[in-house]
Amino acid sequence: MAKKLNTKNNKEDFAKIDENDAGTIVCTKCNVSMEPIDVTFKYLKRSFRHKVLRCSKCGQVYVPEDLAKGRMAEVEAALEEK
Amino acid sequence: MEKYLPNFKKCIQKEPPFCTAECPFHLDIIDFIEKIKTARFNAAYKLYKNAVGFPEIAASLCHAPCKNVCPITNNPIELNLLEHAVIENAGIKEPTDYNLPKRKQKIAIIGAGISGMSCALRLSTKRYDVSVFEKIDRIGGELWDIVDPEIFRKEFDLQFRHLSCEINLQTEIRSLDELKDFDAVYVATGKGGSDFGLLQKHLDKPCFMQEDTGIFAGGSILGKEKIYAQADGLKMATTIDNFLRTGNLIYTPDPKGTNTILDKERLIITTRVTPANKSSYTEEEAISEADRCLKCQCDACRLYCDLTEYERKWPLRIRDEIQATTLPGFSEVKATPAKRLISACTQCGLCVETCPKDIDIGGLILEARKSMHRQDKLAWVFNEFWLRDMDFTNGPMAGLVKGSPGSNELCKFAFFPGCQLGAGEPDLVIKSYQYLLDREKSTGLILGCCGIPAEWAGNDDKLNEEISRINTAWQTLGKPTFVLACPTCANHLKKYLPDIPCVFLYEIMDKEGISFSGNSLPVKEYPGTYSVFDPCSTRGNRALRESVRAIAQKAGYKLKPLVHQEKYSSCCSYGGQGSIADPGFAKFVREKRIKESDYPYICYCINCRDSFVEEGKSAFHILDLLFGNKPSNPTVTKRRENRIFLKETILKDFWGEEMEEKKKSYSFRLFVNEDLKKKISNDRILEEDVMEVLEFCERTGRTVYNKNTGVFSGYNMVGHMTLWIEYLKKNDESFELVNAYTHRMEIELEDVWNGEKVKHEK
Repeated sequence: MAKKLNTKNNKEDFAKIDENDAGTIVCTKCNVSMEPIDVTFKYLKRSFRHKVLRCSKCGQVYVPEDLAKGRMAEVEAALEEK
Repeated sequence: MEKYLPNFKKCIQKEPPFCTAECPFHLDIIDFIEKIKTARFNAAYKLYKNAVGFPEIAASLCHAPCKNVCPITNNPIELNLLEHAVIENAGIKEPTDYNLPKRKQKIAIIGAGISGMSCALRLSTKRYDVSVFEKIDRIGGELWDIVDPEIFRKEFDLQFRHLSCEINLQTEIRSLDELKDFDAVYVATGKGGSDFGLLQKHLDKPCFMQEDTGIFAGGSILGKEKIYAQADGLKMATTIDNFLRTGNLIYTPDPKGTNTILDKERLIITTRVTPANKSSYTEEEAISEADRCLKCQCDACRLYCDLTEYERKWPLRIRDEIQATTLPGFSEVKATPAKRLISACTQCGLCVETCPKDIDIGGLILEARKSMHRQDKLAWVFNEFWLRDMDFTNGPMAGLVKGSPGSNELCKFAFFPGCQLGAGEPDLVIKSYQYLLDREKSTGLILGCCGIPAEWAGNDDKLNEEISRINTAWQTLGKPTFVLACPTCANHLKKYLPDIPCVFLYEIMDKEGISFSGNSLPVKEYPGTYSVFDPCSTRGNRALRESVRAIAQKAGYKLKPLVHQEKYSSCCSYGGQGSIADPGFAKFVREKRIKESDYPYICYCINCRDSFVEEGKSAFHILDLLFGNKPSNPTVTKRRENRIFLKETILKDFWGEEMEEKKKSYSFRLFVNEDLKKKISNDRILEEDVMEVLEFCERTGRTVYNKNTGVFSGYNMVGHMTLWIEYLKKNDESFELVNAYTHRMEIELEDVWNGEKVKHEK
């Protein structure tokens, strides 16, 4: 499943969410707009990188609820069976 | 795990039903019946044809020995009529013309009776070069005397339609030497036919080698008559085929009998469907007759164990999956099919109690959890919430060990209400304690958890810690008798601390009456008829089950029993704490339990009550009814607050002490509306964790800000979980929570960002 995350389709899924929020979401600390940047996720001894909204200055991450409860939850469930 | 494995080998689920074991063809009758039941007569015909070769002849010849062994003794399933119905109602009877390569080997069959012809049919289907030798001028042999020639001649024509098979009539074989050119010879000369001196020479074996030729004998010549001769011809064809493929002469006699067991609960006596025309079934009649079949195969586990039913798996498959999953090594190199299943089981123990071979699936699963925990392969998320809950219950804010009030002496009794009663209904614990003190002044109190969540998490170290904590408390209080309110605590203590004498609060109430501090109980707030729901942990404790019924009746409540619940009491879904691992299974179990009766339930395990209330079922704890308490459905946060309230109140009311431990205070206030409280509680998010994350976000400034809505979002880890909060800032001391959610993946921040070292704040 970790591999599946990196397929083209899934990248598009993640990017779609990013574009909706990009521009309106700013990093409180640095006051700059968040951009889609790779972040490392780790779960049950596996890690993988994926683009989500981040502050280019300080690296702050933003994971919206629909991503956490949608695609991420699916991948989590799959990893729990591995 | 080794302890549990041997019994799995005894599993009889795959044993044939009684009828199949008795059937000359060992027809898969369960499959046959299933096909008729679903009106798939073509499929049923094909199955039957594959088993018997000549359906019309078999149906005419068969004397239905299956009927003698059918457990519906006076009204056995009319299989013979069903066979005829299948033949009549099947639309497609034309045999399939398979395009198979011809085989070189030559086979001679002596005798064109039913046995010889059956053997010829099967071997020509496999495209062997088959020659039948018959000494008279017609085929059929003995059939002429016992079956209408019209039937069998038509059937021979039909089944041989696409096959080539040389039939030599009026060709008597006098000596096997005439057939030296053949690779195999099947001697089926029938009753009184020539045996070529074989019977005397080779008494025991129906097959042997003579020079280069394999000689086989079968049918009436060996005393197998009529239907058995037909079956023998088919069986010998298979033996000959094996011989010609492998060169080995192996004859395996048919297995005799079966070890299958039919659960008594499954024996439903019905009356046979009588054909309206007195002789044969219509399609509808056949379907209703097939519907009576009990499908006698052992399925005790599926009948009683919720997990095998939900997973649709038999014990052997579960065993194999568990063994594969618990093998050392990671999923990159091996399969891990049972990871969720292992954590889903309710640990109710019904599997081993109902299995005729004592297969303990639950025991194996608990060992598997331990093995997975030792290998650090159990997903932390399945158990972390419960383990944190246990730690909180036993911790300084909620845990308590006290001797009897107003006395420093050691006590005779100690009330041990368990961890969830006080979380759900602190008032019931307070009142129950008062009730006990009214009767025996020397009664102490232990607020805390029995430690079973550690066992369910497969964590032996943690379990031992919990057990020794309880043991110390018991010793400190002077080895009192524990007064329990939770049957799960009782089983757990009995297993790990058998020296502690235990008695149930309900047994005391049954004996001592139910009046309370001068008032006569009960407060009859909820009159009506109820069903007592026995928790799975009370299966071995009849006295307890009866005492609860007795006090309910004394209190004036009418009771209607649940069908299975007392003898085979099953879990409400809370047991094993598998609801995070497999929420679907937990819901399946709850819904199944709720359907057992329309009456509201009386529970005496608070987890049962809470599970049912959660699912919308009207359910009361017996103490709710006795003390007139309205069942609540508190959020996970409220459950913690209730425990703190309980400790605070009980210390003040009974000992006149102030609780030393204080709740953590914050320099800000957070407003959460009721709907949001419910939403986050369903996701098992504690408001105190939200406060911690908010405190972190405000302290570090690690948030993002939505320019359109003015909402701040930030996260921090709570245990292994990542908790996100979204909030509005009213001023520096006042916030409003807009949303909170979690994910299980951890966000791993870089140590170096934009070329600079980053210090990650905690």
